[in-house]
Amino acid sequence: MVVLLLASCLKPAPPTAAASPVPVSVAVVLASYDHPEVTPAPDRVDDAIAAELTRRNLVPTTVEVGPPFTAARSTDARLTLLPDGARLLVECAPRFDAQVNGRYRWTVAVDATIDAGRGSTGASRAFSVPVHLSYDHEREPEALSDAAPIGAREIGRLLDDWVASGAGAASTD
Amino acid sequence: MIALVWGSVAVAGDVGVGGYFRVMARPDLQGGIGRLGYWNLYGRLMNEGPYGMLDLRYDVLAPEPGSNTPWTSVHARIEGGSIANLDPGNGTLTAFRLSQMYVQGGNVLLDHLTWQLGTLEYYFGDLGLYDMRPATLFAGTGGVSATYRTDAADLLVGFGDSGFSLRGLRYDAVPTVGGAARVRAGRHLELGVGGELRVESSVLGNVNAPYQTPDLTYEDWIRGEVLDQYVQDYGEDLLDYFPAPEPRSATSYAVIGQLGFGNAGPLRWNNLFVRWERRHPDPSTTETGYGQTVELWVHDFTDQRYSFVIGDEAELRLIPDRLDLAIAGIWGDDRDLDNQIVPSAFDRTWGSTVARLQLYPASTFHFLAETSLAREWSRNGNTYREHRDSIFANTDGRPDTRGLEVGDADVRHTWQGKAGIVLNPLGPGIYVRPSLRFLYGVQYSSQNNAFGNSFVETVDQYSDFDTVEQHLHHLVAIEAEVWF
Repeated sequence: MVVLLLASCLKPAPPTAAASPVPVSVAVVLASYDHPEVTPAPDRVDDAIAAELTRRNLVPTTVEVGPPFTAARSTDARLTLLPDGARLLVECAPRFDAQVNGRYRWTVAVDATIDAGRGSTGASRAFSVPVHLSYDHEREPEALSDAAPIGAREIGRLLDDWVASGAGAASTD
Repeated sequence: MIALVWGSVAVAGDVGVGGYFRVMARPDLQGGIGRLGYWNLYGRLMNEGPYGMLDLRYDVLAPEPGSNTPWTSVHARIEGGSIANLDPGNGTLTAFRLSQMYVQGGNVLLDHLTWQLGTLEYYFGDLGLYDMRPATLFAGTGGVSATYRTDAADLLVGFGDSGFSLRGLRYDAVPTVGGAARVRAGRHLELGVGGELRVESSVLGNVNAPYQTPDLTYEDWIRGEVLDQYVQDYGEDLLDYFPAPEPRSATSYAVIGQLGFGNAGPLRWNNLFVRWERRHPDPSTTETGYGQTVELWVHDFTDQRYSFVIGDEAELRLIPDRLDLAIAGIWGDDRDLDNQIVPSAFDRTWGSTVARLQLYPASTFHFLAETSLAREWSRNGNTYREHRDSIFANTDGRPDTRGLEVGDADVRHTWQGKAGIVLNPLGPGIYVRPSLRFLYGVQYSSQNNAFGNSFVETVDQYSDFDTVEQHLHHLVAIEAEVWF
């Protein structure tokens, strides 16, 4: 038990931080398999992603997700809706899988793209996070919210790679 | 043109793999098998054994977000309750089965409509503290269903055959039809109803169809004395003329309901489930005597078994990210109108309440405490032995070698308490998984040795082993549970 308690005090390695603060526009888009419209993500998701940015000396500015994001069906088209400069687009699509031993299994597919602005070469990371909701009335927002801890961690790895590549510094030049 | 209208083309070949497992080590130093009590009525925690499930999905034609193009997927599930080194089966594959396999197709003929062909099991929700799902339909049905799903309402209809789940190798067709409807009022209220009807028709000449052997009494059947009574009435010479069975049709049904409300203050959600069921009759039993085995057809003795279950569970956030409470209760009433004489699992009432508190001093380090109180009553007399030297066969508590009752009590009271440490890598939440748990549990029961065990019960003076009396059962456990 003492070993477990001591282990909980171990700190993970610090993330790769930009040399100077880099403003980043952030849009988190929640798509649905049941509706054509996209909606903003729950606050918990925005907060988790913002925390990952802040830890890397990236200054997040949230971009409101509205009807133009629904009309823009591709990643490139949605990126153009963000202000020029460093921009992070996170596209999330939770999908219901099956009832599994009392829970409702959803798979949240995430495509995260970051670049330094128009004309720059960006980086992207695609992954999926399984979540198991407890109640039938919980849908896409709850699935995405439950996926936030793991999703934010994966986005953090994308940010580490992007910052380490120097693209973050280039965006402030 | 279609691609321009609907957007990008769907892709095939996406694979999803998920499942569930629980593993545990519970060295039982009191002669038990590593479970605190007999069953989940006292809460699933420390009363369940190991379990593993693998759930597979393959997208033949994957759905597209924001699009209503048709899609198709294949699903399969393998599950079972034996894992090497953790239970007597030691991981034998005979404890596993292909429990679900079906094809789903969505947005075919109608948007928001999903077809399912294959196994059809569906439930309204779960009593998580019990691991029970009273409001379940089509658990034994293979066929086709269609579900129309919107934000405000769901509608499910299904049709199939439950014959293999009910009859196994002695298959007889049991056409089953049913459906469920659920409506939601915003994020705070939902109400669901549903049901299924199973009908097994009389088929002359089909040995697997339902029948009733005439001129039987319920008591002779229960005592296994049908042949003895026949020989007494007609003589052994006439055993060859034992009466032929008369055809019957068999009907059973289930009606389910659900009321859910929450997202208000500390109440995350409360679910109330109800189930009323008429069980499907049994086909036959056998009795051996006088050099032959006779099949006794017993439709009329098993066609009035009813079950009513009501269960409720509430999840509350007492102090956000610090203290949660889950509390549940369940009550069941099983009645067999054909049986007035012998204690039976089909003729009893049972009920309990369970409460679990989880405290989060740190995000991933939690304390858990749970308690439960249960009462089980046998409607037709004694069935529980309360002491090491309690009587066996009896009538109204008086020793009787022909008595149909067993033991000295018709009621069993059980209390359980559990406490320990939980490590949750994904943070706070009673139902957040994976969980690693280090637990201590204690049970008090009015019944003697009320847990799975290998104790002898005979008071025979020549037995090599003495009887044991204990009403307290202690257990420590190291457990892990995960949905993935």
